[in-house]
Amino acid sequence: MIDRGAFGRFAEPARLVLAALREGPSQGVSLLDAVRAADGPVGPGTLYAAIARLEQLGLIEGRAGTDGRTAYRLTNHSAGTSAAPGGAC
Amino acid sequence: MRALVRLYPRRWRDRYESEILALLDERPMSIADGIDLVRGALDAHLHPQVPGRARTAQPLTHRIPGLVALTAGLLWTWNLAYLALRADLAGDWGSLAGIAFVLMLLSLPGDYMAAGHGRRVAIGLGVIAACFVGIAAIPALPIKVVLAAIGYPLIFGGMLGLAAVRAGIGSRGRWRLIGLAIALPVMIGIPVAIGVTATSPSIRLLYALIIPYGLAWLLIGLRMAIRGAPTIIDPPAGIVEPEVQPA
Repeated sequence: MIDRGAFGRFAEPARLVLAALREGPSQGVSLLDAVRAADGPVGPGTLYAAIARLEQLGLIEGRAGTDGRTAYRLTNHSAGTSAAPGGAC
Repeated sequence: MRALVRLYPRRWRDRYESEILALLDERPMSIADGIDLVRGALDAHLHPQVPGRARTAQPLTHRIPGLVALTAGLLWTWNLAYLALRADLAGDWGSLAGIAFVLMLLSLPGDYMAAGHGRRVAIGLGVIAACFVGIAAIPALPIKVVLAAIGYPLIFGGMLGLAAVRAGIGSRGRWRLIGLAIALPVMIGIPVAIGVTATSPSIRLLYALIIPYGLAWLLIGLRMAIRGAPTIIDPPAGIVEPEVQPA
């Protein structure tokens, strides 16, 4: 479960990032597109605030790909985290 | 838009700057996105969330030097703006600005002075101040000329530089700050100051030229208050909180 206390106003973008990553590893641009498609005009500041919190909690991890760009993926810790609409927080 | 990323803390930029710059290159950004970046930068300062690092909680006493510097900047800016705008120029110079100067001095001592570089800077500033006082004590020299030509750039620039060190501003940022708040106003002010008398309207311009110095302290004070600045009596390191465990 995503703890709203830890995420504040970034809880919803964080939930959408988790949902997008369930489809597979993604880079920041793809995540921004996915979050915007689901939640409207989310900015880069909000997206990376959510990503930083998810990484801090160990729910996702970023790894540099062969093109030198970071792709994010879910960790084992995020297995029990609900990313279904309405299921977070 | 890319310049807004520089508002983020250095540790955050070390981790995410290249990614977010690549994102800005690939997606057209609106003004709302710019505002979102500014909000994100503020959040990153208030709630550091860089993975792999222990979060450092600053005790309240670490905020005090920043708040003192912030107050000094406010007093200085307000006083100089008042002097630059008011009709009657007689007698008020040095009232609030003097208090601001003392507050600026009080905000400077920190644990960094115990280290080699900080100690050398502090000693150097003291030597410069002693030289300035010695030169100013020579009766044949007009004190105002000495103050304007030597004292202001060196003493006030030195204080600003020390405060910038204390606020964690990098070398390039420090020189830019000193250039904008000290060097540029002095270069403009010297021609104005030549032949200026206490009743000349040009004195208002001189007062106005010193306003950026107060604004620079406002900026530094805000940064020090947010980041925390250990004082001499505090332990040099903050309280390290344990890593947050995964849910």
